[in-house]
Amino acid sequence: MPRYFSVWLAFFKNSLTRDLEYKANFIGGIAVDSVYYLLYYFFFYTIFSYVDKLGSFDKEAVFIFLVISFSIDAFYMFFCANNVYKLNDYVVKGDLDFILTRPIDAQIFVSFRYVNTYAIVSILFLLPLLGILVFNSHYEPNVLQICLFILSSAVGVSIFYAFDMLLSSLVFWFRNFSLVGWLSYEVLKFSMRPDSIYTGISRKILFSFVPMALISSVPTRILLFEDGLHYFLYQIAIASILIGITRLVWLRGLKKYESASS
Amino acid sequence: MSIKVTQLKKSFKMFKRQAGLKNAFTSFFNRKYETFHALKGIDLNIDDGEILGVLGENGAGKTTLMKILIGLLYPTEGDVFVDDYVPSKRNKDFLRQISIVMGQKNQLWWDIPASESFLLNKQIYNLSDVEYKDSLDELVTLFDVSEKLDVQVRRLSLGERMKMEIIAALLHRPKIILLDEPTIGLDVIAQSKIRDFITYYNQEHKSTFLLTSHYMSDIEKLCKRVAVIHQGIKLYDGQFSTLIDNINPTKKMMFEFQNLPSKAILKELEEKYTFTLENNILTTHSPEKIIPEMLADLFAIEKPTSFRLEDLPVEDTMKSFFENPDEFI
Repeated sequence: MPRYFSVWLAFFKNSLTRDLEYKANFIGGIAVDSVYYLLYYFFFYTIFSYVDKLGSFDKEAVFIFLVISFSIDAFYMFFCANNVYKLNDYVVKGDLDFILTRPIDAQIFVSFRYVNTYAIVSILFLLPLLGILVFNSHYEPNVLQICLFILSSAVGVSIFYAFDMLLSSLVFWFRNFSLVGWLSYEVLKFSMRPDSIYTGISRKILFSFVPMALISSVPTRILLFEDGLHYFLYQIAIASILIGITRLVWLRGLKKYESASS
Repeated sequence: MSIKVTQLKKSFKMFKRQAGLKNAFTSFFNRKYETFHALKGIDLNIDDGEILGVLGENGAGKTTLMKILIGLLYPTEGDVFVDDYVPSKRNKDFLRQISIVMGQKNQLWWDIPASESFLLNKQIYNLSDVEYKDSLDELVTLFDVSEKLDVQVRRLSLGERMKMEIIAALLHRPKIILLDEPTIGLDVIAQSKIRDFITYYNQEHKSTFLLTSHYMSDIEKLCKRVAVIHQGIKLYDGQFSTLIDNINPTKKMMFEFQNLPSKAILKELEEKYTFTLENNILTTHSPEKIIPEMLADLFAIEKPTSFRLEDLPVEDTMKSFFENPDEFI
């Protein structure tokens, strides 16, 4: 594992060197994220001018939930997002060739090759903001809640990754699945709303087959509410299954990889 | 034995449709596939430290063979062993011992200096600082690119980029090196530099090389032995010089007369041999066994001002071979 960390550090260093080369692109990335956050903020701000609560989430909980969602998204962007969406191109153009000839796990290589360095700016902005929001709210999480929240957020990022990677890996069968980015983006929008707004069959789906409710809502519940622990155990179970399926699909997909003519 | 390939077959299922909008719609609902047999039962053994040239036209199956040898593609049938490893299992120890350079693909990051990508490879191959430094110093000195190490890859010339690609591929000192058209698009000086490098590296490190190239001078200068693949079938496996002799046993001879012989003597020569005569120079393309007799006749007429005997260019010879391979083998 230390070797993989050294490899990741080299990825990070290379990505940072490259990103700093293109200043406008780097700043543009931060600007796009800021606009994205503001849009969501105004969306929920408008909703709360008409209602007091969204299910069990009051206004404070929803805004804390939003910052948690953004943070999980920013972590995912930082580590994996750029890479997962590139898998389609790798397969279509045969660029997976050089990755598969390396003596390290190809899924890890593909998933972490390019670090989205500008996302670190978002993380550095969002984490203190989260602290301020919680501190100023009427919620008073204890140390255990905070520790479980950190773990649950990490599990949330892994669900985010596993779901995206699972969809992207379908390119091995489809030969070209360039719409995966959009499909994934649309589905992941479900994770940007508190789980309490979903009821009936949609809630069941979002807690199982398409576990978007487990990405940000569960960490929020663990941090703010007292019913979080059983959600956390459930979240770990679903994450393990999803990561296992993704790994299986990836390995089966590699057998279908046909490279591309030179 | 470094590489052992037995009855290797590789097929691809390919989507096929005819041109035109109507056919595009038809195939959207009723897709037709056909199986393309890229390799049709190849046998190949390569010894440790050997440089084998793999020849063939575009689409013959050379790159497919290389991709199977390095474990990128799974064979449809047959056995492949590279240093006792099955490549498609992608064992990490196996991947540490092999490397591939593809002349038409880049492994280096485009926007950063090559030296940064080398450091990444150092981590990937888990090289110690000493191993990395020794290997990098040797390769950089051989290619004389020390001043280009910190230049962004996208600002390098094609030749410099290819040298950097080769350095990246060899940093971990692999035992087996697959070179797929490493000199494509390079000028003659860069081609020559890469050829010199391969010769040196092979002798110094006893590495096994498998080389494909459309430049026959690469093959001629580097490979004693070649395998010729045509439409997925191995047509020839043996000495390159023997192949050339089989394909084109003729030699070109030029004999410059001091004084043009009489018409009667020329008529006699014309009855015996085929040649052209221009500006006192007699030129013939004749089988090797005829040359001594013809030369004796010409020397009997008079001593020449100049005289030259040469093989036909290898490029021309191989061109005529690939136009109709069945005729020669």
